Amino acid sequence: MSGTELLSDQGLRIDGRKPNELRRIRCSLGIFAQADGSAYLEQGNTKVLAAVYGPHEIRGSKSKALHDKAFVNCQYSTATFSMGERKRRPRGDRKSTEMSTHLEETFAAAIRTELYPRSQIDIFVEVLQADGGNYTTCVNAAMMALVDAGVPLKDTVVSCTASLVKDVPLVDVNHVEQSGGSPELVVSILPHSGEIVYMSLTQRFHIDHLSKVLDTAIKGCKDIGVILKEIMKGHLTKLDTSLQAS
Amino acid sequence: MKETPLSICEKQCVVQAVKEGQRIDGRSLSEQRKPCITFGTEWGCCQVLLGNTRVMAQVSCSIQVPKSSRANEGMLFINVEMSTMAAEHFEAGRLGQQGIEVNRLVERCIKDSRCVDLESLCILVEEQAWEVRVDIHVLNHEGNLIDAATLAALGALCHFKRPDVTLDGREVIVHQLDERDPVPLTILHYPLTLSFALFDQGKIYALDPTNLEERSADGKLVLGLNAYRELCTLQISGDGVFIRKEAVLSCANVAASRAVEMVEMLKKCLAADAAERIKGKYDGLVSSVALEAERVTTQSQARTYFKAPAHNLEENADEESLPVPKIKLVKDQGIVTLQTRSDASSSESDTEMDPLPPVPVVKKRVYEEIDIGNDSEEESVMLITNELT
Repeated sequence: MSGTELLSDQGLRIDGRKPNELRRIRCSLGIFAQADGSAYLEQGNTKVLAAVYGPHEIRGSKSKALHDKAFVNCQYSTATFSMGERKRRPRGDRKSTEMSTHLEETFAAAIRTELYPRSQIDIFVEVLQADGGNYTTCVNAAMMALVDAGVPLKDTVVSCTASLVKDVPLVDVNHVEQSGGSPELVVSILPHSGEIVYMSLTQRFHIDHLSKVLDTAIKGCKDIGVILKEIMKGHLTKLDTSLQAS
Repeated sequence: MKETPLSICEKQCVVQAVKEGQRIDGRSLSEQRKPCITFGTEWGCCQVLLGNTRVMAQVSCSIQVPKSSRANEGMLFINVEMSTMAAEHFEAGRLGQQGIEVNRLVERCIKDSRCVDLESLCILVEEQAWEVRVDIHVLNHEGNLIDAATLAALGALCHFKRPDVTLDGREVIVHQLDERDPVPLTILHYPLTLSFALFDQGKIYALDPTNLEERSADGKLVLGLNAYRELCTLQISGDGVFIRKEAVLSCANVAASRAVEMVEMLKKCLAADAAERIKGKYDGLVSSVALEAERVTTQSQARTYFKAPAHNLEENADEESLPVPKIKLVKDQGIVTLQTRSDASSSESDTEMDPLPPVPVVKKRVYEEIDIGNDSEEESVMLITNELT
């Protein structure tokens, strides 16, 4: 796919969005009864399920226990039917392990782990349909699940992707734009302070463009943060009214 | 084995020093350890020494069926091996979390940035293509494995030459290395990584951290750049790291200028290796070991040079075999030379040298120049071995 098709002359992208437009976000919280917190998040065509268990006693090897904080354990799994070609191993391959590590690091920075020494918080993320921005949707879904579980957070974590096509920065890239050879910058920030918790870049572009693309990604994160906050408020007021009714 | 725990006072010392702009090994915050690149005798073997971190990469190739989604391209596969030899907490065989991080970053920097032209590796579309495999072995871990691994992989890919292939209709003929010269890979650009250790909530960053600095840091920022100041990869990792956008941009600028210098240095090393191969003498990785020996020895002034002439030499004159000339050692201003005399006469004439009787042609090892670090009291030290095959 060449650059001309990714961004048309009228300034519209392949799916008809403008360069600074996000994909439609739909979210639903508290879908699993078993887990402490759960969320289902859709960003465009990327669909992710997240479940949170925590904090509880460390299962398995006690050697992982940290004496002063909780240990965050993440598992990133992509369903075998999530991509165009059937994926043989949903988890355990190198890319999934790398993603799990990045998720752990992102949330270890956001969760107030010092409140629960020697315990473990589990976050399970399952990608049901992958259409670009898998990591970002996972972070956003897991964050909603953490809020649903009531785990104390320093600040919410929001994540967004950005790209650069023909010197125009695009926000929230999908799979076609990502595999078309354009670079993808993934950023996770704490929206209130604007500090970056995780950042990664694939493909390449000139260093002079970095500032522009980073700004676009951070703005995208803040916009997503606003949307997710509205959803959270809606869910909590609904919960509140149903509790008051019963 | 578990990693030796980092004591709090060690960690506080490193953090405090970095806050004052100093580092334990005396470097400045944006100074890198000088990388030392050596190439092996085989094509595609490269060893990088970054301080005490030692990483070796070897490239090999084989013909495989190309992927169905990219039928006109060859394949590049990068594999990192970390054994307990490098550090006590590395598991033999299985890559731990750190190993997977190194593997993915090298892959993203070299493979995803498409620095090797894969289309030129295709032989027959949808049927046969070259699969180039880079195996990176971490030999010693003293911090900053990612930079050393990427540099070694890139050096090995630039050094590697694959066998030449001709197509005869639909038949593929792979030429042997002595039939036709091997063909180098097409490298489109030279991406390298530069790692920064982040301290004090991302406000202070130290380039090329040692193991101690890595463990004491809040997080790590890895930037992949090529000589054209293009960012190939970028990653911030570490639990509990917060960094501001301005810090990322200033790190990127520091790294960009450093990357240009490193690419220049890599190209110079490649050119030097090519020149040595043309001359016919290349020691391969032995030269890097010799470097170590130079550093260890203290009496480098008392160096004794041997210039052994290309004759059939034996330590003890053996009467019944060939008429071996008597050997005399002459030490002249610290240079010991061997002078041979064909007859066993006792005249001590140093300058006389009669022509030797014809010696039957035997395969022998010829020592052009033997360097011996002399730390013994004896003036004449003889070290000649001869292989008669």
